[in-house]
Formats: sequence, C-alpha cells, structure tokens
Amino acid sequence: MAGLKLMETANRGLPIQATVIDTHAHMGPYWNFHIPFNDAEGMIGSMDSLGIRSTLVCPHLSIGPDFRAGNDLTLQTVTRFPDRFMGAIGINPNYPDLVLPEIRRFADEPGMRAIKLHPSLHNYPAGGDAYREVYEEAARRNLPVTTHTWRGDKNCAPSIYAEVALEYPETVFLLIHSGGDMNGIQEAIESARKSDNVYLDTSGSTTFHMVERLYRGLGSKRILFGSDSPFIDPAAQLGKIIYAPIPDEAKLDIMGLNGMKLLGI
Amino acid sequence: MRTIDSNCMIGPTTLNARGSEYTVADLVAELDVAGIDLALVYHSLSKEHDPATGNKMITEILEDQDRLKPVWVLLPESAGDFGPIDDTLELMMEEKVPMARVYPKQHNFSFSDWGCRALLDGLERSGMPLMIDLGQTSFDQVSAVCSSHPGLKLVLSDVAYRTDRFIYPLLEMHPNLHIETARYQTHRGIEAITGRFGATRLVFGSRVPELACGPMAMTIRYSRIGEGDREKILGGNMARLMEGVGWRD
Repeated sequence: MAGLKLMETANRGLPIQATVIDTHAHMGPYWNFHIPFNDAEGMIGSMDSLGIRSTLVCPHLSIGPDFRAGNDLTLQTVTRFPDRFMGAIGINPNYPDLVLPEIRRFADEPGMRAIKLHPSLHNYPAGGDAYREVYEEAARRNLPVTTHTWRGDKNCAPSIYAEVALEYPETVFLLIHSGGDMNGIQEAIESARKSDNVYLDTSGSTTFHMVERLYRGLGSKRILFGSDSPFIDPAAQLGKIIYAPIPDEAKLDIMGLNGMKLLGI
Repeated sequence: MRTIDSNCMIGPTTLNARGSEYTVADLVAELDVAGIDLALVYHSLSKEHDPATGNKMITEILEDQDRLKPVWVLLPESAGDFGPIDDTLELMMEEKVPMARVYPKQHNFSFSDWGCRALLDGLERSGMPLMIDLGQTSFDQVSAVCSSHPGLKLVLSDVAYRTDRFIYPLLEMHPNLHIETARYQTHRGIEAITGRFGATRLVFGSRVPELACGPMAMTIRYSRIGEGDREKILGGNMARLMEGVGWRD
C-alpha cells in the first residue's frame, strides 16, 4: 500500500487516486435550506473534483412529498449519466398501496440498485407493515435497503434494525448515518455485530471521528462511504475516511470496494 | 501564503467527548498531517471555567510554539470580571494575542450594545478581530452589532450548512462580517459565496478537536474556485484581519 498518499493528495486538492463509490446521496432542491449546484451536473462537478467515480442517488423529492416524481428524476439521471450515477428507489410508507408497485416499476431498470427508506421524515416505524413488504421484496430482487437511522428516533434508532435484520436475514440493510452521533455510532456497531446483513454508512455533518470508531468496532468490510451530497458538501465527508487513523487497506474498502460489492458494480 | 487554522482549542473539557485531553502535541500532529502552517488556539478553561485563568494558561503554554498563536476569551467589564477593555487590549498586544473570542451564552451576557458596548467599542477601536460562535448568539444580534460597530472585524463561526438564507443578506449588509468555514458544509457553498461576495469574506477554521483539520481543509481545497481565492480563504483573509494588531506573515 506504500505510495497511496491519500492524505498528501487531499492536502493538494487533487482527485483521489482510488476507487471511490458514494453510496448515499440525494439530488435537487430541498424545502429547508438553499442548496447550490444541486442538480446532476452540479453534483458531477463535486464528484470530478474529488475523484468520485459513481454515486447512488435518491432525490430529495423521493424522500419528500412525491416519491414517484422523484423516482422518475432518478431514472432520468441514471439514464443520462449511467457511468456516474446509480439510483435508489424511494418509497413512502404513508402511501402503503403504492409501495410495492413503485418498487416493481423501477426494480428491473438498469442502474436502479437499491431501495431508500426515511422512517424519520415519513414518521413511520421500521417495523411497520408497509416496510415489511419492502424488506421481502428487496430480498427477492436482491436490492439493498438503505435507511436513515438516528439515535433516539422512535422510528429508526440503530437498535431497531438489530431486530429487523434478524427477522429478514436475506435482506441487506445499510444504516445511513450509523445512528448520527457518537453514541448512536456505538449502537449501530452493536446492531451490525448481531447481524451480518447490516452495513454502516459514514455520512454525517458532525461525526468527523466516526470512521476510526466504526473500524475498531466492525472492521472495514461492512462500512461504506456516503456523502449525503448535495444535502452537504462531499469533500469533508470523504476527508473523514482519508484522514482517519486506520490502515490504507481499510480506507480503500470503505471508500469504494465495499460499495462496488454491495451494489453489484 | 501560509495556511492558517483560525479555530482550534486545547485543554481538558467537562464532557471529555474525545476520551482524552487534546494537547499541543495532538494539535501540532494534526496540523502536520493536514498540511496547515499556523493555528489560532484558545484554552478550554477560557470557555468552560474562567476566561482569565484560561487566557493566562494558553499564553504560557504557547510561549515557545511558533506555529500556535494564543486567542483570548473576553468578558464585558460590567460585572467586574475584567478590567477596562483598553487595559485588556494593551495586554493582548504585549502578549501577541491576535484575536479575541466571546461566549455570551455560556458566560451569560448579552451580545449587544447594552450587554457589552465597551468591549465592542474597544475591539472596534483597536482593530482586534473577534470570533463568536453562532450558537452563542443569534443572527439578529450579529446583524445589530455589525450595524452599530461597522469597523469591528467580526468572524462568525459555528455556521452550519442550512444557513444561506440568513448569511447571504448579512454578508450583503455588513462588509465587516466574515464567516469561519468549519461547519459551513453547504454543497459547493464556498464556491457560491465566493462567486457572489468575493473571496474575502470567508476564513478557514477547523474547530478541532470537535471537528478535524484535514476534512475541514478539504472543503476549501476542493472548492472549484481560483487559486488566488483559495489562498485568501485558507490564510490570507485571516492574516489581513490580524494586520491591525501587529500580525506579520
């Protein structure tokens, strides 16, 4: 691994010379705040600067009021930029009759590689009936389920997924934010230790010392780089892996190799 | 142009969120890894115990540290915690302290003309830059202080990524307002602000040990802006703000 020079490259602001796959991103405007350059081209600009090869997106619209229109945007995006974007099908459990049809509308489309859940925004419990249909369908179609998690959230605390993942051993769960804060991270690690089908995501705007904690708790094979872009800028998010005090081999796993395996790239 | 980290803290903290005290050695090692030349550093006791005690400690601890410059946390003189601001500022100049901070919420005073007029007047007169966390004040208070003290070199830190609809009008209204970048993780936000307001309004800081030097510097280093603008944000702007108090880079 000598010669990788990840930190030296980052200190110079040059694209990272390794496989970087971003397994957690959105797209488009968001109601709560201004997001510059939030379209596909704007995101490609960030990706090019950093050396991110491909990004799994689920537009903000898909986790907000109109998941079907959001998923249409996702398909348009992965069709226009098949080498740069993959899609996660957003579903809203508050429209239970539309959940399975929506997954089936997109599941066979090339480039649609996952299903995205946001139990917090949707105020719907991870163990609710509509989600149970999703977990079963995801296993049948071999699509990972990426789901927002946050410590203390009654709908999606990491500990809830310890139980859910044991109930659905054929479904892969990627816990976005790994619980959100340093205590949540410990909870996420403990959940992942209980089930081999639980993976953990590195995104978060305050958790800049999380990667070493995740690595110490779980090793490198089930941790994946997620940026949450363009909700936040991806540079510092990638930086938390690059500057983490862990072996370079582990950084390569987390930055991209694990994502390639999980998404079948 | 040297890279200057404007927002660093050392010392023990009440909650010990890090698991151990962040020391000078820890900070220097992190600056080295991240390729950062200089840092402005305050002591945790200035915030969490007693500013006078912490200020004395940081001055002594950094006495032989060429790369680390002490930052003092100030209190208004109203309750008698601190003497006249001009005496404090004279002492800061003697000790080569190039920036002040205040913690109004933590230390229970109002960041306003009625709460700390003499302090703000003194800082404005002297040219001493002042950094304040947004979490210690409010956008309305910041705007009022910038209006009443147009010569005050104010650096607002702890500005997170959801704030453009507040900070854009403030930057438009107040030429003396600057934003420290550690928590400003708006997607391509550095580029957007630079495009609209120029590169002189942003000041790089890492907010270590809560955040981290390398990742926070990446936000600037990977911004799609010109190299001259990048140098200003990474160090030139902070150096310019400190020129009034004898800073020479």
